[in-house]
Amino acid sequence: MKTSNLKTWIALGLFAIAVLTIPLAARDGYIIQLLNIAMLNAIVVLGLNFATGWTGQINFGQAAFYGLGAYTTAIATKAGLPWISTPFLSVAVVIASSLVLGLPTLRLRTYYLAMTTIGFGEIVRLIIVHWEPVTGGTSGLRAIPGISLFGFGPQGQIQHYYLLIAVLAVAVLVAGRIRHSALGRAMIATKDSEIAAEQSGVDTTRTKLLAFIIGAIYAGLAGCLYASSIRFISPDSFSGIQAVLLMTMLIVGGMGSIAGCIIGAVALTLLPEALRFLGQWYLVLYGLGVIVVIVLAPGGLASIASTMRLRLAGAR
Amino acid sequence: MLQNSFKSAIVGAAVICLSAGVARESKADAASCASPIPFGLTTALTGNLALLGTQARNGVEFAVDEINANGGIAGKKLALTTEDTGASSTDALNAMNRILEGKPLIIFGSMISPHIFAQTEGVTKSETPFLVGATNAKVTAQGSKWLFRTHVHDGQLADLIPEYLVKSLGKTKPGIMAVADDYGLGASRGIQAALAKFNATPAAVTSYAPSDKDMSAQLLEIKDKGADSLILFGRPADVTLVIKQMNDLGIKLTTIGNASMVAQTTLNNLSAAEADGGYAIGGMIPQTSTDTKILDWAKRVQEKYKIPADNFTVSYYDTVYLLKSIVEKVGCDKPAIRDALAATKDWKGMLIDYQADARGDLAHTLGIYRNKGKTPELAGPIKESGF
Repeated sequence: MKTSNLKTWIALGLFAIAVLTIPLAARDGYIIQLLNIAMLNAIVVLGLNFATGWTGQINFGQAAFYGLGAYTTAIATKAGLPWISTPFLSVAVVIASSLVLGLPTLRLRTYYLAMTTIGFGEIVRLIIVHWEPVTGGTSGLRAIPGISLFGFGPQGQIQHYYLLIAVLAVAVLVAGRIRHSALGRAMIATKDSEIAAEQSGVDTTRTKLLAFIIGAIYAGLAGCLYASSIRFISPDSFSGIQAVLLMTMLIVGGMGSIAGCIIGAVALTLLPEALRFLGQWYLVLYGLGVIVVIVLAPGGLASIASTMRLRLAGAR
Repeated sequence: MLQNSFKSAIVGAAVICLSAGVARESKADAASCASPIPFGLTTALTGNLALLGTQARNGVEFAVDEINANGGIAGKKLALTTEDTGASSTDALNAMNRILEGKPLIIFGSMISPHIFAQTEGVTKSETPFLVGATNAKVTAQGSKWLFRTHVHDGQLADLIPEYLVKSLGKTKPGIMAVADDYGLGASRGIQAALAKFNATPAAVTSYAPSDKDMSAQLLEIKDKGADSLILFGRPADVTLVIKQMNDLGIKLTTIGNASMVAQTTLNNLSAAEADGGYAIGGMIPQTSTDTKILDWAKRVQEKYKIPADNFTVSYYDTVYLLKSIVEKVGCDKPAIRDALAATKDWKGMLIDYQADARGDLAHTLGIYRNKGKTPELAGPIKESGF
């Protein structure tokens, strides 16, 4: 084994040990709950990375897919359906919605998708707000049944933490496999130049549609887990502001980088909480921090380590 | 001999009962509370609900500062920890988790109902008295015996506004315009149901998104459908816009709404002509009081926070003093505080008396107001049916 590979594996192993031992240091409470939300955000951002990071399509509909997954799960479990059915139902709903939205719009180029996804997010929000007998309207849905597989399910935030780590790890592995498949290469080619990709035989419309659907599935599954672990949902958690926040997580973390998606999601979930002691000024500092990262590290936080490594190599 | 033993047994039992009573008395002593006594508050201090959320902070903080300046409770100071919920339910949940880690004796929640819905389960599990001003009628229907509300709710408003409009103002064909959020939509449905009880049919039912700035289309629809009045339900910022746009469009309708119609933040942004004649039913506001002590209090609050006190400020301020009186009686035992809150009867607050009902609602008196120019005048109190 090469020395560099060994170092990478050691670093990964130490990171895994640190992640798995966090609950030993933090009690079952605020910190763990925050990390759980960060991991759910990371899954949604990983999904967003397919369409935006790898395929180059600006998608502000990810929060709406997240919400659709959450509401599908909440409505189904409150109606008495077993929890095991909800991931499948959530995925079916987001696939159907992403097809309805993606088929007519993904043939278009540039900013049309961005505009239609903003509209889609608003339509979903309005349906949730006004279809009160089913969605609970602006009051949301509460007392949502928790995760349960044949009578077994995580109890408390720490058990949810380990479950979400496992789901996030699977999400990362799947994303990694797709990235190195023919579909992943087609996505990158589409992002670099749609015309060149088409000339090389890539069906760019199909590629964009698949990236969009896969991203929606990630969001739908995260929404399913969100509803069942937080056990309360309301429209404000899936609003246009949340869509912009998810996009910011992707950009700050590093567009196109799997590690960047996780870093961005975790950083931008934890940072506002860490800065709360500043009162109203925390928003100013938070905004400044985001601008600084975008200006000084256009490749996102994930690119900082490689940039430093290159600079060090250059210095030698 | 047997008689003596019997006597000894009686005396022994009496001593045990007495000592148990003394023990209970000492448990109920406020002097046994932690020092300082920890209070928690979660409310919106940033985001688009901050204007509203700061009123809760102002009310609680002002009362806590006053109590501390006067020696605290049984010589123990109150320590208030405040956490910002921002504008989202997820942030509200995070804020509550931070507060719960401090193990407060009592937690105050904000007036924003979705945030309270998100927080209730966690607070109930922690078995901590939870006092809120959230206005959605369903807030106290969640089945938590730890949750109490000390502000009037939109279910009461939805009943009383149509009643006053039809019976006292003689209007039977109102247009309804409500903000499309938890507050406005719930009230709009209740108002429509209450109007039906008085055989009145709304000419048009409209709503607008909380971020909307142009409501002229809704106003023109209400005018075109021949409404004889307008029921307006919103936040001060958007109620101001609606009234201004009515004036610009030349629409003159008797307008009645929630307390936003007479809120100082609304009136500050209207001309006297625009504000004049508007009616409101809602939580009692201090500015219309004739009591110099209350007017002085409102002045001091405005001087400290640079924004006028409103119905929420009064409600949260009263809540702290209600708790002070309870802690002085029952000490810092959380179940005892909860039981005392549930048994509240005719506790005199700044503007109204508080009385707990079976759901945990303590406020049942509202005010009817009419703007004379930019000055709201109290037409009189109105009570919820049954109180």
